[in-house]
Amino acid sequence: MKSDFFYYALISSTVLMYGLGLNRISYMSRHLDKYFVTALKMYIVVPSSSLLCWIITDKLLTPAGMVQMFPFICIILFICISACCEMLMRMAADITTAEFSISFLCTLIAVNESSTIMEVLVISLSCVTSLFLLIPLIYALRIRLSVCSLFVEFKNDSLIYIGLAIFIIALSAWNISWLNPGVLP
Amino acid sequence: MNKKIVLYASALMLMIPVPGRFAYGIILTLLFNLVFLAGTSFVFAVRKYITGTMQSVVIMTFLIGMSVFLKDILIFIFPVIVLQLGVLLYFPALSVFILTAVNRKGSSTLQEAISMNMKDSGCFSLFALIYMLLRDIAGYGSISFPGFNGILAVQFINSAKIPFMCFLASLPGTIISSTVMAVLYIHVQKMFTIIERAGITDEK
Amino acid sequence: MLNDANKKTLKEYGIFMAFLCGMLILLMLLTFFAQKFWVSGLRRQVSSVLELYEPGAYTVTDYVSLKTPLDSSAASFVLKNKNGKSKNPVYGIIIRIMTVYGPMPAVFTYDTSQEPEFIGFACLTQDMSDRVKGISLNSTIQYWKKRIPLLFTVAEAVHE
Repeated sequence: MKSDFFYYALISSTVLMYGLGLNRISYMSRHLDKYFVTALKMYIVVPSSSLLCWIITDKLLTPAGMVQMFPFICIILFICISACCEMLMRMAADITTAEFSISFLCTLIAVNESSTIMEVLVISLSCVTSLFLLIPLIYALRIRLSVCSLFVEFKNDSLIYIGLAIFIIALSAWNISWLNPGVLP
Repeated sequence: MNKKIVLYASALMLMIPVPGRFAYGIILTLLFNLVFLAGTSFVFAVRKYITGTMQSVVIMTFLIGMSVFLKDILIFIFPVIVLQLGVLLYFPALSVFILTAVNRKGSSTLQEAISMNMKDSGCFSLFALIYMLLRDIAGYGSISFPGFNGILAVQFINSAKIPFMCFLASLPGTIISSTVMAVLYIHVQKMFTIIERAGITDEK
Repeated sequence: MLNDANKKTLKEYGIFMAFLCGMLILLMLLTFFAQKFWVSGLRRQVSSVLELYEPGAYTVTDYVSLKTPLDSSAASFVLKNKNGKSKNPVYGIIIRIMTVYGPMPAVFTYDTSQEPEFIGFACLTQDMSDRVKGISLNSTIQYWKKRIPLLFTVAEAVHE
């Protein structure tokens, strides 16, 4: 379970490798006011919808050989769960968060790549964790860049994306790091 | 025009995680256009009968259902490409480009709605195909096409022997090269604006 | 009881349910017929990768379902060892793995008495496959080598 969590949170990160929310992350990292609220919503919606979708896919679609149509079932269940969660949050604390595509794609990945119930939960949690680990890093980068005097051409999100590319290269360093037991035979 | 280019550039984000081969660009662009066309027609048909929040639910379900339908059709022809792309095949249905365009009001007939949206998607498709072609040539040293048994590639250079080309084929290389191209475009545009303004001042 | 607003809501939900049922039936039919092409196409790929990296070692035979939703991003087949060396069942599995170059279809062989062995990537030349292998060997490939035996354990457990 530990290796599954670290694999999907870092090595095969949903934002960096799967490219989920590559355009959204620059928007989400501008202000951190809705960070915890969005995280809370995603941490509730993604694992619960992944679990439900996985059970239905595993018990109904897979024995019938129709596993390829699982996203259609997932979208219906996901919309129901997301709408319920949104309604509860609005009633309880009067907060709204509009986040759909990243959550749904995290659900799809979690359902697609799991073979047991524990794996679904771990993978869905790690997919969401990878996003919310990256947002503060990008925010910190943004703060640092705002202090510098940049050329006009760089006064958009170009350096943020170059920062993302450097994060990917940094994570790939695990393949050749001496800390990795497989590197030194 | 400038705003359109910025919109296309941000929509190109859906092409970045795709492996840099022209074949995958063709498949994704085709998928993008078909989902866009089907989505526009469906929204036009359903708009009169379903309103409010129910409309967004129905549209979203249709777009994903359409993606699953097209994915199943692709399995008949290119099963290994479908295996490889996986979740990436659902990116067009969830892209902001399609979601805002299909919900656009202001066209009274279906033909008008389709021609307006297909013009946009045609421009984006051209942009995306040129982008993927450049990625294929720069990264893999080939031009590839989808084939029944995988990828049919016309190899010009053995890019595996050239580290810089391999870097351009990878994800960080793609992000860096795309960002550099965007920065160069902004710089060139700035130069043209300066020259234009200087020309107007001289005339005055 | 049934005023205009309620009638409109009922009509909307009715149209939505009809659309859902229609879409479901269409997708079920299409997915059912596509399964055969999925299996045959991936069998050809596994066969060609095995011929490239281990020529004359294996013949790809029957499809083995993993009996989990992972069936949509992987396919496994029983391999017949042409040398007749191994007494245990040997499986060939093609699975999508995430690498720095994007998602790649990787082919592994799994002799149940040993650890799975990575063979190569489909849809890539041998040189490029070696490049991608180089940057993924100690992370992604190692992770899937540890996970593949668990997939077959789960498939056997479901079968029982």
